[in-house]
Amino acid sequence: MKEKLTCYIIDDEHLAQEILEEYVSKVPFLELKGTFISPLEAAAQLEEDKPDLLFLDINMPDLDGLSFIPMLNPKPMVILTTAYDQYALKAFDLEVKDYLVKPFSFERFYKGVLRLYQEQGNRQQPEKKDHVAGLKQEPDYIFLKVGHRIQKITTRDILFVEGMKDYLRIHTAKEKIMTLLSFAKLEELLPAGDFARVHRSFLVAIDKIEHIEKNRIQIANHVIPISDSYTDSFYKKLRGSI
Amino acid sequence: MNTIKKEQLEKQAVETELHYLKSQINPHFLFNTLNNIHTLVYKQAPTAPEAVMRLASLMRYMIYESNVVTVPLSREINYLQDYVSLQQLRYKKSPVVALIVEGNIASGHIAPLLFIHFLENAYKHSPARLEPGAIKVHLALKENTLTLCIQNPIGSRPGNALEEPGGIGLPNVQKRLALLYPNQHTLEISSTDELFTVTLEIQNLQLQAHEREADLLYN
Repeated sequence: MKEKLTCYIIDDEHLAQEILEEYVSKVPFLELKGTFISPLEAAAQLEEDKPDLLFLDINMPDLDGLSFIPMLNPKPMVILTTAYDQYALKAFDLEVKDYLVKPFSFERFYKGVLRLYQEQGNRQQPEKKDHVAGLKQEPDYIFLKVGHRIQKITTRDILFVEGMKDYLRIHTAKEKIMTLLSFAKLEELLPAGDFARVHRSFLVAIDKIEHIEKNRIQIANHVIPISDSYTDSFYKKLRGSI
Repeated sequence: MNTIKKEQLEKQAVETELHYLKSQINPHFLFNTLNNIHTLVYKQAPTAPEAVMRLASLMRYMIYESNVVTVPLSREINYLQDYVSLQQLRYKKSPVVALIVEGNIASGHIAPLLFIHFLENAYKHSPARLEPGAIKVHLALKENTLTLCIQNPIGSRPGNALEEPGGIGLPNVQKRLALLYPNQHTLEISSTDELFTVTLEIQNLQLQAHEREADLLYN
């Protein structure tokens, strides 16, 4: 769930601003970015800051709140504040999130913003899951069973991996490590975008490639063959990383 | 007999119309004031009790004390002061209205709620932010002639401003003046690019009872 909802207040009366500022300051998940006395003054700032939420008065001298909503781009969530109840229908059409009739209590205010915050949280959860999964795919080290111990290997040290029957030989600049593992298992552990399979028996670290000539790859004094069956997928991956 | 009955009916019609004309006060102002007082109370501001008393005084005058033909001019001025004080809650800067009262106000009597609409208009058509003393109200009573002059800066308003509910337009005030002070008042309204000015003059204003008697005695 998002930490805080950023918000602005637009109201032409200073006491109306003050009570909203005080209400907002009591809510831990709201962060007030600024207060304006007219929509015209606020317009440029809102476009730049892209706040999540806007508390907007309707009756204001320069430009009324209802006319301002369609001009908002990007459009934040809007909570209208007004002394009148007669604009509620129009507000509904404009898809505002809440309609607070002045004077309103803190409890009524809180009810409205809490609902918004919870809605916002639900909408963002799938995104968050993806983010975490992404992180899991990209650790900067892996643990592999080498002989009787478990060896930590920093993935950016790997030059290429050579297949030896049931074993893999991992070549780094300093050493060669033999581990009982399949390519398929190893590829699951490594960051997918950084390594490419170029042969039934070879996996290379893309950023360690010095040059490619015909169907051979040069990596740190090693020449690694590219087999026909992996050519297409390899070059596709390469284009993606260029 | 027929003539008397006809006159009575006419009088009743005029009274009904007058009552109707003066009874419309802008609810926007009342709600606005309540919102502002709510904030003051919430913040436990030391100015909150005075604001409540001003509002009570204003409402008492509108609801109870104005149901008479005339009121003391001082009471009407007191009402204007209450109104100005409550409007001031909207502004952060020190008094936006400069109210000057001149002459022997204590002797004058006037039809109630006659001036408020000019004052309401002055606020309504002023810019959102007002400098101290931007609205000038000058009220003078000299030799039975009362002069009220209200001047305000003109704000820029879009053509499609939301209609404010209630409130009474200038034509209504003019109608009321014509009914109350026929042939003894002048109303001038002028505007430049920046200023809007209303000047109302009422001649032969009704004086307090004892002064009227004195007048009769000496003339």
